[in-house]
Amino acid sequence: MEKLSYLILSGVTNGSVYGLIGLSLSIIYGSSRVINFAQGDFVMLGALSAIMFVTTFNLPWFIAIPGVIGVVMLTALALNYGVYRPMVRRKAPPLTIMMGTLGASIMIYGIGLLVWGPDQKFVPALLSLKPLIVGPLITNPQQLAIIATFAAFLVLTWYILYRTRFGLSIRATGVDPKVALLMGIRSERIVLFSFLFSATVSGIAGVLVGPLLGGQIGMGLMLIVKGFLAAILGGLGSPFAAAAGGIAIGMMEALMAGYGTSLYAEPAIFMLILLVLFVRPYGLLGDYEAERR
Amino acid sequence: MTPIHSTEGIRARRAMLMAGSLLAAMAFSSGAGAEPLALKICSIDDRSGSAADTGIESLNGLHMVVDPVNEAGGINGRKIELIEYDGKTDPQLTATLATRCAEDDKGLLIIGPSPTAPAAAVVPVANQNKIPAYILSAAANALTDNAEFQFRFGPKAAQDAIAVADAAAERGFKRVAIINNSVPFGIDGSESVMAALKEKGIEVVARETYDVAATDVTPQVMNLSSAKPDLVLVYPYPADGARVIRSIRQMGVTAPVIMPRVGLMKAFRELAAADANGVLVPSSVDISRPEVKKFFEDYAAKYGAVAPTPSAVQGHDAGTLAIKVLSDAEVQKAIDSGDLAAARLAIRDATLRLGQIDGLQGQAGVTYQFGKGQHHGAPDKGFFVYTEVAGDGKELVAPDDAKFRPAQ
Amino acid sequence: MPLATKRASVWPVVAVLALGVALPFLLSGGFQLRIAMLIWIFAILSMGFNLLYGYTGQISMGQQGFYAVGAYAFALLQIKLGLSPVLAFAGAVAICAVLGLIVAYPLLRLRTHYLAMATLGFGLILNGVANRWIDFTGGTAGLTVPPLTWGGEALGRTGIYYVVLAIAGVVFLLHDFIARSHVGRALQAIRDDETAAAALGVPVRRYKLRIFVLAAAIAAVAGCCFSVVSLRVDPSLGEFHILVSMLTIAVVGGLGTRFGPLIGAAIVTILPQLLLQFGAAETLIYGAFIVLFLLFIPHGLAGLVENVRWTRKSAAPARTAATNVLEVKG
Repeated sequence: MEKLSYLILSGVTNGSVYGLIGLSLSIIYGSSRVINFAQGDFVMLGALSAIMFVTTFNLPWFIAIPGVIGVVMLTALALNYGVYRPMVRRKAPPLTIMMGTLGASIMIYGIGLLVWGPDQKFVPALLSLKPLIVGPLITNPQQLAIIATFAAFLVLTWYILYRTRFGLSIRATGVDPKVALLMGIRSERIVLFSFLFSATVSGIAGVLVGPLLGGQIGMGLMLIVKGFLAAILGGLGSPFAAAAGGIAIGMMEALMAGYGTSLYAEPAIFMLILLVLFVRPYGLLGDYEAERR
Repeated sequence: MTPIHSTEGIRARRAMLMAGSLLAAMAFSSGAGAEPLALKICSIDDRSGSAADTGIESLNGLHMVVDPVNEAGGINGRKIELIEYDGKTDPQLTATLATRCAEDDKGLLIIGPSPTAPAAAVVPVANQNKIPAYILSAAANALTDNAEFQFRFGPKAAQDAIAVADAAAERGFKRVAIINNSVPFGIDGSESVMAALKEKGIEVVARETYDVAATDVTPQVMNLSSAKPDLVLVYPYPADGARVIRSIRQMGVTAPVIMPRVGLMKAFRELAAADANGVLVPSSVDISRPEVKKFFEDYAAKYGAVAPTPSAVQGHDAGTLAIKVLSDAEVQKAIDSGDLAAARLAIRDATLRLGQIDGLQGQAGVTYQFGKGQHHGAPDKGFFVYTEVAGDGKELVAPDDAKFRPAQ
Repeated sequence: MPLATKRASVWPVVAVLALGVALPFLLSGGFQLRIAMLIWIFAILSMGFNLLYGYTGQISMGQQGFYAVGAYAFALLQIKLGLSPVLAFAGAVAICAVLGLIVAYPLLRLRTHYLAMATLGFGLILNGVANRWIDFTGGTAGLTVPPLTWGGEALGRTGIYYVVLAIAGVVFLLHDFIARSHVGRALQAIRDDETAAAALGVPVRRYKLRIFVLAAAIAAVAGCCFSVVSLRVDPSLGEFHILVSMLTIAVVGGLGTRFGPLIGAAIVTILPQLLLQFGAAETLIYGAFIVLFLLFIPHGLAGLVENVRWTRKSAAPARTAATNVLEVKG
């Protein structure tokens, strides 16, 4: 029983990280129908700019965190105005725009290489990594903060989507963009917002996972793969489905490692996801998107 | 409808011309003659990818021996030219760059790479072009089997593993648990140590693998802990090494922990802090040797402080042997004759003849053992020393042998 | 409805291949010859992808997996079963075709991004297994491939070049034949509108399946050629950077064009060698190159040359973020 509760805690922790990335992927996808290959690089920028502000410039966290958000938002603006919009105006199909974001991702990696170099770096921890006993379990504040942040962003996303007029426009664009356009909803503004919001989610995720995963310019790639799988497992169309997909992958990993083979856990989980897609081509919770076909 | 069909042929031909001139632009052929050859050494290694630390440090180590020679006027008045290529731990790119070195640059010798996969890719290129290659740390066992032109300065995986297995056997450890990450470094490392432990009759009570992208490794550590090991081996990258060691201590595992190579790295020691205390690291670098200590002080003065990992030392040692070989009378004769193939052959033969140099790897007095039929430099005995992490990750000390024992 | 490739002749392809035959006499050394071989190999790989995505609109981000499986099968069939290179080649291609069929059957139910991500997952599975199953695959260090022989002697570099060229020539002619034939037009119809294509009597599902299997087999052919050239196979063949190269070739060369894969392969192979002088800035420049191409030469260099029209794609109404959705809705 103790083992199972540890496995669940571990699955939820890892799942929260995948879920945060899945969530931010699907926020952009929801408004623009584009999968952003550079999403993992926002996480990388979050972790590495935290090093820059806190360690290099020796700034306190209350300045560093807005600084990190500023860095990822500027990057998101550059991505939106430099790649996404011009490609949309040139009538590029979504998969071609995805390749554009891949090019942008390589560029961000290249800039990171020039600024931070290729080594894995120590990222200062916002919260303590010292053990913390919660009921029967040992964890640490940083780990709990990851789970809490994930929950907070889920609630915030829900609030924006379902409790604001702006959210109504987003959902309208998602349901039928043509009609939304006719009703005077400016989709470009919505897409811009989704870029900024999702970059913030990923950047904060980077600050939180940095002390645990270490800061390295290539970290975006290893994380985004899990984010992709989370999003398609749950269903790309809805942020909540993508987030659930992340938790599902985290749980599968923990249970597979706890009770089965940990060596072949990764390929086995990928295989499982493909099998799920065979049965449900739009993800576990993808009814919404499937109905719109 | 535009008459595109009629002009298509012309357009295609124009495209071909473009492609042709692009190719031609790459042909920087240099004429061979009776002139003496330039002393060109190509350093091909990862400087921007996942193993960039090894490539950058080994190149710096190489510079530390080559630069003084050049400043003093070179070898017989000719300076050594270092051609530096970034192979990014990409075997295919590395092999292409090695070909470029051999064919285009007319290099005499290749130094590098460090990771296994690109090193393995350089081997066929070296043997096809008959150009000697001084491979650095690449650990795959078979890399120097039936070797002709490749030499290796680092220990092979089996030796790394034997060093760990020997230490475990000598000290009477009986139940070893292994935890590794799922990148090739972790999987290969743990596979070879499992084989070495089996040979010694030591039981592996748990073998766990985790993803480097996992922020939490509790499931794996729990399995490891419930197997009640008396010794834990960890094969991680720096950051996940810190995660694993923290988890191991949190779960109350008190057995000694051995963490090859990565345990020395700064990022690991900073991240793990107090939990890094007592971690044991087998390494081919013995920092208690005064010349090794001095080397790392000089290195720090020139390139900034670096953990005493083997890469810088391997670059240094490969450079030392290269200079000795290039200074050899027969090699000089071949270089003077302007015959590239003869010069490369002479360098190969001189490496075999002169290869028992006393480098900075291994314990004091242990030399490289290159020689006829022996293209792997590291000897089995006396090549490894153990270092212990102390002072909340800030210090590296000689281990306290009393603690490095199975718990009673 | 103008179809650019309708009455196009085969002669430009033959001319390019003739240039390929003459190439060893024009180049100055082994390095250029190696580059030329790599160009042909990447061109083969990308021709499969071009048929699949450029013509049929079905993306696969798992082609590098087939490429690696082809190379490994070619090596293992020779090492473990002692087959001749010719039989090993045939075996490797057959294995990938069967694997392609097994994968295509369930995955082709998926569309656009789901298909992209699922095929990416497939590539990751293969790569994960190659790294883990050390006894069989040789782990990170990979396997040594026996050199090709001719009359008992190892084939020289020029000989190997001609072997690669011959294979590339066959694939090139096949690629061109499909592109110019009625099959090519049927594939394009599927790409542009599956429902309409089905209504016109195109057997959509059967064609998609066949072209996926063909692309897998072609990737295997490229993998075999690579192992002949490099004499080694290792897990890096199935890694992400091969996929990035292939996508870059598609972007730079031009999707759905006859010469795109070859032109793209030439640039993607030669460019990194020229960028070496920029040192650490190389990666940034490479990324910028992809973005600039997508923005300013969206149909690739071959698109400029061939003046290809993306038929209905370009005739479609202005596509905004909003109307992009229509793409997904099909």
